Amino acid sequence: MKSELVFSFPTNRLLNLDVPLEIRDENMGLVAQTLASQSVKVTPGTYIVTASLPAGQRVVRIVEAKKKREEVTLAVLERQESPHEWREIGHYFASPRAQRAEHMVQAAVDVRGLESLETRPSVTATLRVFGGNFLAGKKKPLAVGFRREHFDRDVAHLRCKPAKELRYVQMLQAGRPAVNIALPISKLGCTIAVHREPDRYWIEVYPENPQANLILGYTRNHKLQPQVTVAEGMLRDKFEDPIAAAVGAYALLRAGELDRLHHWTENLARYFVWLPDGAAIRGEHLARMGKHAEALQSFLDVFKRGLPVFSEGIRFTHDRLRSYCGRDASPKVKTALQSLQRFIPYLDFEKAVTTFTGSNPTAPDDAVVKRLPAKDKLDLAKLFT
Amino acid sequence: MAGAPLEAKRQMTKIFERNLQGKPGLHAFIAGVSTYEHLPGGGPEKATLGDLKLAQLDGTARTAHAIYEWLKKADDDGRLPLPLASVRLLLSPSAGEANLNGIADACTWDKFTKDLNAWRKDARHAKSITFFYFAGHGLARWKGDSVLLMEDFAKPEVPGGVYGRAVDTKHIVEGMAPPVNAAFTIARNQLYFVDACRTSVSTLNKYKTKEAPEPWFNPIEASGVDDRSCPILYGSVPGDTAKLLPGNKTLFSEALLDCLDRLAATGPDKDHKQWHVTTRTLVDAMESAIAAVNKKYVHLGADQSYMPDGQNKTFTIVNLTAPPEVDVEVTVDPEVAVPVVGIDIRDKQLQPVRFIQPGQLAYPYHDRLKAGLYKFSATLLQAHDAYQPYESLECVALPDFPWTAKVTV
Repeated sequence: MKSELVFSFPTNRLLNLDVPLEIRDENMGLVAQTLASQSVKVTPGTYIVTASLPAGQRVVRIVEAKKKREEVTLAVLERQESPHEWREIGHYFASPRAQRAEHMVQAAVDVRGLESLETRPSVTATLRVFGGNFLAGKKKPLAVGFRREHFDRDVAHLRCKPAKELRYVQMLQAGRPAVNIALPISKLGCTIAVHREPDRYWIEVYPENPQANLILGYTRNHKLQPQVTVAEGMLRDKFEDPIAAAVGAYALLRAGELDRLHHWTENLARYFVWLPDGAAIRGEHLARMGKHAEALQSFLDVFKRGLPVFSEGIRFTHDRLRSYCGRDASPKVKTALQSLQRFIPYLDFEKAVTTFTGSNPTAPDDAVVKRLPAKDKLDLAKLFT
Repeated sequence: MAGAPLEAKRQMTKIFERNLQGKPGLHAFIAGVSTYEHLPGGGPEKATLGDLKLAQLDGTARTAHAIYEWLKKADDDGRLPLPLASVRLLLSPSAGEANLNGIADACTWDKFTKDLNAWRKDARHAKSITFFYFAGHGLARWKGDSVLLMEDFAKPEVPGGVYGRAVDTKHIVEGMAPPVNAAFTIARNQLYFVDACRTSVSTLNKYKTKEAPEPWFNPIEASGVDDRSCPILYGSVPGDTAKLLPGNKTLFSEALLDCLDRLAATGPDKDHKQWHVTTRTLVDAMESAIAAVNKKYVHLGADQSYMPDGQNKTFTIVNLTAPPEVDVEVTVDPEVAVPVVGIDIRDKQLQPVRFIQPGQLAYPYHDRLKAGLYKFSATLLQAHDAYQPYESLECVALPDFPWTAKVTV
């Protein structure tokens, strides 16, 4: 008689997420690799179930499989739990920088207590929103329109509504360069986490699609997790969520899983003309297939759409165009490459979501902000009151 | 092991070769540059590019040699997934690395490119593995870029301009793509380790868009189907420096070797009877390894970074001969109970492995155990009303294992 292991996470944010799991026997031999949403049948015995979350939290459960069905709760180590349920999105999916910030704040509280923790920054900061094709020199100011959902002493979460167009949030604070971050939104919105420290604010964005958020979290933390079937499904379901489809496609390209891209990258590029990443992904897919002439055309389409939402799309476009420029020095290719090269020195390639500096998003630079805008802005200090 | 190694007439650069009679093998290209002829402190012929503020190094040639030694040992121990087929080694040692003089040719641009082309030719079996490691100065013309500086970088009046004696990492990786002509194949499993900085030098900012000359002798055609696995592990994030312990080796190499020998190991599976390291587990484990190295050298201001890139279809890099050892930390809650608590560690057959008496080790207790199942028990060495024994069955797994004996009643 086999025992069916059924998995679940105890927290809302992780519930139903397809976190990759490994099931090993008591000699640490691999018995099965699965996803948290799928059960596994094993012969009775002792098993070790492990998982690793994007920000490094670990799950290690020893399971005695005796009954026909064993419920396995995948709790992270106690010391790695999120302080609040609403902060899980940052805690389990955050970049190394966000994790360091959280540890520093907690360490300060542990040592000095909550009351003594002064996190009120000495600078003011605001948010603005822009749309448009920055590569073509076009920007369109948009209404900020975020809704605050949660906040505590050092983090506030804003909800950004869905939109079927390119949008960037810009944070300005005096004495620092303005930072522009792509918003990964389409049919679903995203969460903007605003972090405040004693001398600055900074932000991180998380797509609303939980699977996309999971894969992006692994990418942020330089981890490769075996989720190719999930990524393939996200690309297949592009009409449900093209941003998630792009995240899935990038994951498949990273894993060299060209067969799992099928012809779906062509449809992602064709049916979502507002999304530059579709053209970049299609271009890279074609290049990997050795179809370089078609790849070049697809990469040139990126410039008709705008700056890709994800920095991987920019890297693919830049690297391939440089390579093609060496072979085909046509003015069109050179001009396209030059328009992208204006952004390269100011991009932060460590960030999975496109992030670059410059008060004018069509003319990136690293000049510090001297004065904050008077209108069309969101004052960040108000988020924490 | 198929084929006997070629002895004796050691070519300076192809420091190792084994005749595999057309069968796949592992082909390594390792280069370490500590001495820079035309940088301050180098030879008499100085660079004419202004004040570059790039120092001579002491440790990168040693690092490259250590990587070569690791590969050789792994091959001798039968741990590599394929026999070591060839190793090309280029070293430009510093005065402090004089023991490396004469072992290999200097890493000049001419030698580097000549060997690079020969390496690619050697690695033409599709099932072969290539292993590339460079340790030395690196630059970035823009964020995300990586240019490797050869020993004769900034040599005055050389063709190719300011980067005439440098190699663009991207050129190397692109040139190793499968060619269009199906008659010519290339190894599909490729590893790249770039142990170099990715910072910009302000003096060279005006040359931001200048290209480094192609290192390939024949013009690279556009590639065919690129179904390689070619992960690239950079020893610095864009804009950052790689760190070196003067007189020692790079921090990146220390982290990498710990991963290859232990930290990135994963257990047996249907294709592997042994613990082994794959490209995926290596990428995943490097962050922990880098963090551990930074912690070890925190007193020296260590702040090593790391970034993976490239396409990574999982393949095995090295096997282990035994389960890896895991760093274990044991604490007692409450801490005041430490003097009266003994820690008993037994394996899954309940055979004794370790017993830690109070005072035997510095607290918190640190030890190493082989990965696996253990029973941890906290026993009271003297009766106490406020405390009780505590035990649990645990899986000691990488990267580290903390256990707390909760003895409060």
